[in-house]
Amino acid sequence: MNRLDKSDIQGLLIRGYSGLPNAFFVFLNIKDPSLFKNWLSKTTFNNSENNPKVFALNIAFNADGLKTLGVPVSGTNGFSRAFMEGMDTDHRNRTLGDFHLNSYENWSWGSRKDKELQVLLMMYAKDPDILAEQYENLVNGFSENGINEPHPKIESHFLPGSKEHFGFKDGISQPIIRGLSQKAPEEDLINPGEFIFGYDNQYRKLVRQPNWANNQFGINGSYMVFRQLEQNVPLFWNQISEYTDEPGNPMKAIELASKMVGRRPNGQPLVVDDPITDPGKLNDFNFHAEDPGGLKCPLGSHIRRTNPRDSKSASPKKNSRLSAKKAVNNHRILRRGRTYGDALSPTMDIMELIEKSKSGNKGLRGLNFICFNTSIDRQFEFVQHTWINNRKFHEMYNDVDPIVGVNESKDQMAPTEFEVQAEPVRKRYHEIPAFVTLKGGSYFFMPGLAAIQYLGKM
Amino acid sequence: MLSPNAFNLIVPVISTQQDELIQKLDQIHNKLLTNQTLQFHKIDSLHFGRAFVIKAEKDYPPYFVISTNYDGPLQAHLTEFLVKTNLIDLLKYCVGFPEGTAGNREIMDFLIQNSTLRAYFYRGTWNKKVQQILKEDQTRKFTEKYLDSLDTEKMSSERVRNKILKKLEEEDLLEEFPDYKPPKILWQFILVIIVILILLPVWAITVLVLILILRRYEKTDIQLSDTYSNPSLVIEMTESEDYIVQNQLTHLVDIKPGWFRLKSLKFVLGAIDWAAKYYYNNGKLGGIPSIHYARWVIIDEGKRLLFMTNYDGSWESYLGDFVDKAAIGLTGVWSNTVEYPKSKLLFFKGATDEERFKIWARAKQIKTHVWFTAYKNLSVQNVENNARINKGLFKNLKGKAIQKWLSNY
Repeated sequence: MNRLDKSDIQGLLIRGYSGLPNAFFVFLNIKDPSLFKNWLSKTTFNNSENNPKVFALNIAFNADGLKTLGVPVSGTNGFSRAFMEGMDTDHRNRTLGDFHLNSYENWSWGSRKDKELQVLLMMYAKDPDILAEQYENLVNGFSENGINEPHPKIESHFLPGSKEHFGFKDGISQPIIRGLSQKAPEEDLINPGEFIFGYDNQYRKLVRQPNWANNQFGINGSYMVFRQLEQNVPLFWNQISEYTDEPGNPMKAIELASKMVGRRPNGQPLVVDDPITDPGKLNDFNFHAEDPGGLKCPLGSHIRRTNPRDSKSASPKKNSRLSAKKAVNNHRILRRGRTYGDALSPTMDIMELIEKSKSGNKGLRGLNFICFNTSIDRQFEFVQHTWINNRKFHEMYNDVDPIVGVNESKDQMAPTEFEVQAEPVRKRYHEIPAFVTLKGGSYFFMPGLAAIQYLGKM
Repeated sequence: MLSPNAFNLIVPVISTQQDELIQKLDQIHNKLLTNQTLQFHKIDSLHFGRAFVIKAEKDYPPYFVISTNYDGPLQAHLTEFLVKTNLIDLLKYCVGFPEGTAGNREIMDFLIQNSTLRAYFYRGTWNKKVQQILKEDQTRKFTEKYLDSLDTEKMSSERVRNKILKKLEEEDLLEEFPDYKPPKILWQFILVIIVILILLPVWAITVLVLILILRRYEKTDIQLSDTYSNPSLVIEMTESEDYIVQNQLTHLVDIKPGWFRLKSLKFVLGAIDWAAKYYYNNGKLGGIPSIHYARWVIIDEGKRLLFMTNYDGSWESYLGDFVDKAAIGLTGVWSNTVEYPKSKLLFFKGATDEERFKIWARAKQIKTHVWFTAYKNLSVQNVENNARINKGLFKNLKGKAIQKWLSNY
């Protein structure tokens, strides 16, 4: 297998830029292709070789953007159907659960009605002033570079404790890419081709990639999924408190919320009884041996759905569990999302969040969900459809992900339950409201640096 | 008697009438439960049903196909069609259908005469009539609601079970269904092993020769490109997918020419058909638990292979499951068909070329104009689980077994 060419892979793919807590996601339109191409060739985009300390810039294009620059975006040129058709088609709405509250009618960007979005520019900075300065420079150069900004940019900044807005530590579980320095047992390593074109995927084949321009265009690039997920924090805590048998007791609310997530707010996985003190070990666990029946971590909880690990093993035998895990590893995604909006409580202390939720407003906050994969169908869409929104997940009847799952089918309100396995029998929570709603989304192609240069010189 | 069974009517359509028949079928599908022509929903013995047209191409005529999975004897099932539907309005588009006013006798003969092609068949659920499946789900749903109304946290498992039994009895929902016993494999298997060992010297040489012939063929096989040449065809297929948890697909390929390939195909299909009766007869085919039914039919006198299946989950997860868990079976069958990803020794490679395989699968998929399911909200595992729960109501359970049974809810 080839070594990863970090000098050609855009930085965001390999690095999360954890040292740059502030970000802007800028939506652009190409007003004048030749001016824009000039700008592309003059601009420095970050590769993955070094960890930027001050500022980083990366870029991605949707199908329309590539076409405008003269790239023949077609199936015979190796582009995937999902990328060419876009995230918002009737069938994909059903696959991803994008209807009713998540319907494209409610999206502010990226829907089939958005004919202007073509380029996504991602700016990361340690210091918000630097970020503002870079953005201003960009805006000042709009007319000379043939650029328009059709939608307002989305700002992002980290929350304390690496938490997401509901109060739970996020970003703990990431696939460990084979070939990078991180050590891990063989069963946990994922081939880089799952996330980067030009390398072997989990089937040990070179992924079918955009093969235009002497088969070079796709190399070191990736498909990027971006979905702006708005989180209703007061609804989350108020509703969960109501579900418990002691609505005034915040500890009970935290307990139920943890059951829904699969981890405690500090990241402790429910399947592990002993408190984990080393944050690096928060992801060292499997499901089947410790908890086949879901009594510790409910079978339908969020983390058990988004990465089942060995949950689906037919038996406790090691071979069976390894084989179950192997099948799951064909569907991993590399997450690079960022929270946006002001926290309901600046400290992100859970008790404060619960308290503030009682009188709190919905506000404008949430998660810019971003992930990378080379096979949108088999990876992102699969996780969304077959794990998160699947009512029949893990042999259940009517259970979707309580945090992000959509509990309505396209034609009718079809309420679902969240089941917490228990003895003697399970406890069911009915008609979980939508804590998370979709405000915009799109599929992008993030080219390697050489490909960007090629685009710039066409 | 094995149950359910597979019925497939495959009959040429009068070629000038192909488009009109397709139009009629599209109309039926838009009014699946209210149309007055093909009222699948009235057929009590029907699990899944489909009706579609294979469009004319090359030298082949257009075909009208009705494929059903049904309970009970075939006569009774077909009589339901004659009595409860206006199937004759569709049959009159077919070649050879009796002109003028045809009596039930003649229609029945026509149906039977045009459904003689062998179906190599896999069943996901066995010996459960439609009514049983629906009733067991109803009983479970009722019980789930009842359990929600109790405060079970401090109860013992015995107490919960007794409460359930008492409540179901009050509501007259206790109904036991006959137990399912799959056919046993043992003596057949042993016999086959013995025969193989005895004939070792004879067949070893034959197999060697066959392998050499096979490898020569495989080296010159052509395979479909691994890029999408016509994405809009795929979009048409996806238009009818993923409205409910169940999906279906109909698939048609040319069989590679020559007796060798046809014989290999029949051999592998025969083996799968046999295994589906005696080995994969408990809800899983090669570890895949999401297939309700699957059948293969060889049509046009050995020239084309038709495949029809009803399954749970998305197309992507279904085929992905096959690639991950049963690539050998897939390749064993379809490496005998044209443009399949290159295989090795009949069973190897082939489907393991995951992306190329999926593109090939989509390229050979054809439209299923009308599709009906009698229990659209139930996955295979739901059906099996409901049966497990129901059986447990009538067993004399003690101790830990009670808790195990309760965890099915």
